[in-house]
Amino acid sequence: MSATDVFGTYKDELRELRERVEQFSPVSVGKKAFIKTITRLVDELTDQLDIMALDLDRAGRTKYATESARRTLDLFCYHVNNILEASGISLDLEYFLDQVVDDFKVESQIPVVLMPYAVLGSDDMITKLRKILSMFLFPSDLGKTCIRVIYVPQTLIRDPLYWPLLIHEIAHAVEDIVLRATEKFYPLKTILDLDPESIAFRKHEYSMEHEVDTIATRYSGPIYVRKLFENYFYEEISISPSHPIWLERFKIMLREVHPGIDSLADIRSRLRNVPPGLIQSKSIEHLPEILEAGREFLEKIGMEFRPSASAVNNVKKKLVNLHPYTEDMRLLLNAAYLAKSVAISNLIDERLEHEGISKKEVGREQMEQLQRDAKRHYDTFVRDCLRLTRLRKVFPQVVSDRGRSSKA
Amino acid sequence: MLLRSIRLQEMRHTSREVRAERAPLERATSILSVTGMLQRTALCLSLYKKGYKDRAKYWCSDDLIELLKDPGEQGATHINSLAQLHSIARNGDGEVDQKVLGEYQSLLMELQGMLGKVKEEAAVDVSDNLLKRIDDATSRLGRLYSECEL
Repeated sequence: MSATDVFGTYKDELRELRERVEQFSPVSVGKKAFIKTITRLVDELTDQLDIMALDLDRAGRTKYATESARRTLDLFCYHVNNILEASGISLDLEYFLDQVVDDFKVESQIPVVLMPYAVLGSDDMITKLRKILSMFLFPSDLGKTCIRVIYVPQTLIRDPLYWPLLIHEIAHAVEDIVLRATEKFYPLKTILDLDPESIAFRKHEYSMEHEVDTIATRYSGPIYVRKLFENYFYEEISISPSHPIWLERFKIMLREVHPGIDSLADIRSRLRNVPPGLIQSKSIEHLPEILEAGREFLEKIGMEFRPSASAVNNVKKKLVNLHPYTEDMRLLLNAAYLAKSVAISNLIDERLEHEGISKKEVGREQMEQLQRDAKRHYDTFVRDCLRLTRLRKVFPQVVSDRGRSSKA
Repeated sequence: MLLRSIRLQEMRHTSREVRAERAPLERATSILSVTGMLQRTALCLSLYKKGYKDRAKYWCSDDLIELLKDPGEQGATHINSLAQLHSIARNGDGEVDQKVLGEYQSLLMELQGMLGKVKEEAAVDVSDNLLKRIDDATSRLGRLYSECEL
């Protein structure tokens, strides 16, 4: 059987994949970039298969190539299909992330797509596809294109107050593609540096985590530290070579929080005795410069979050009464956290009043159900506000806080 | 058992949490990436040997030469992983086997030198023995891929 015959099947598969990619709903900036990059790539691969088949037949190497071709193309299709199947994850969250990359002024450099997964994390899909294609005979030039895939657990998708945690992942992309501050001071040059036991590896990884925490904290405000603490904090039994211990991370993050919104006193009180990690931050000689690079980045783009206490309070007052606020996403999220318990209590009171039930008549189980319902309503309300905030940025003349066209 | 041992190794050596979960796939790509490097080189040299010098030059891309010359992040990780996998397959300790590491590195270096010559249109003697060595290495990687249940 000639290589031309063998590759015919794969060309059909690639054609089908292209059709599916084209049907992908191009709502977010990330998805548009995904469609553009993947369709171009599939076209190149399809053309490449013809050239490759001819050369394999000329060289008499068809038998060696068939199995590799199958594995490579199957892996390629698997990764692309994973993104396609995750397309409906959360439109609101996509809008949120579009706004973050807009704010960071990296929307053309760092398109983001989401994927549900058990662990929060991210990687660059193009790097992965490049590796996959290099497994076979494709000398494909993917240039400097990047598509950041953020892996997000369901628990974080449901509650919008957790969404600032995803900014950490976008900050990783900013470091990888724009800043490269950690890369400058602690590059991983040799095989030995890639060993997690090596000092070079740990300095690289720890610096980068502190750097992206600094960016996320200064951009998001206390909500980032607060929700990271609520969801991820634990005192380590075994210490990771890639992530500094939590207490040390929080110690650095707390220095970056703009005062006056949330004192985070409970978190500060936990930081009195920080045990040594694998490397303490003070032993990472260039950490101050690396953190400064993160601060300078935000300052340069005018995106440090430094609102007045009164601004936060005004938004909080609105949210407590479930009045929408759609101007600044970060103000909204920080105020929404502070307003949450009162807003939920107000929602429960209103419902009981509407149903003509006195609070004293409500049993424990019923109250718990009421609280769950109210929390769900509040989460939806905050998500709606976030979506409108994004739409307002994109279509400022249409969306206003009063919910009608300003042209009207 | 072997797969479990690889996973345990990954849990110990992972650099990012998310990588740990997808470790077997990363190992699979390590094996297949080196296989890819070898196959692209073999195709190039076979075309050259059969007189298709222009086509040989086409496959002798800069990125392949770079990978073979200085494997860098991608190649180094892969070769390291392979040496580790061979070791796990043999005795389960997961330490990088320097002998296996050296064998891969010397073959890749030799091929890099030949590809450089093809690119510069210098005379190259592509022996059947060299092509056989490449194919043997490819087969060995295929077996490793199967043994590791990847």
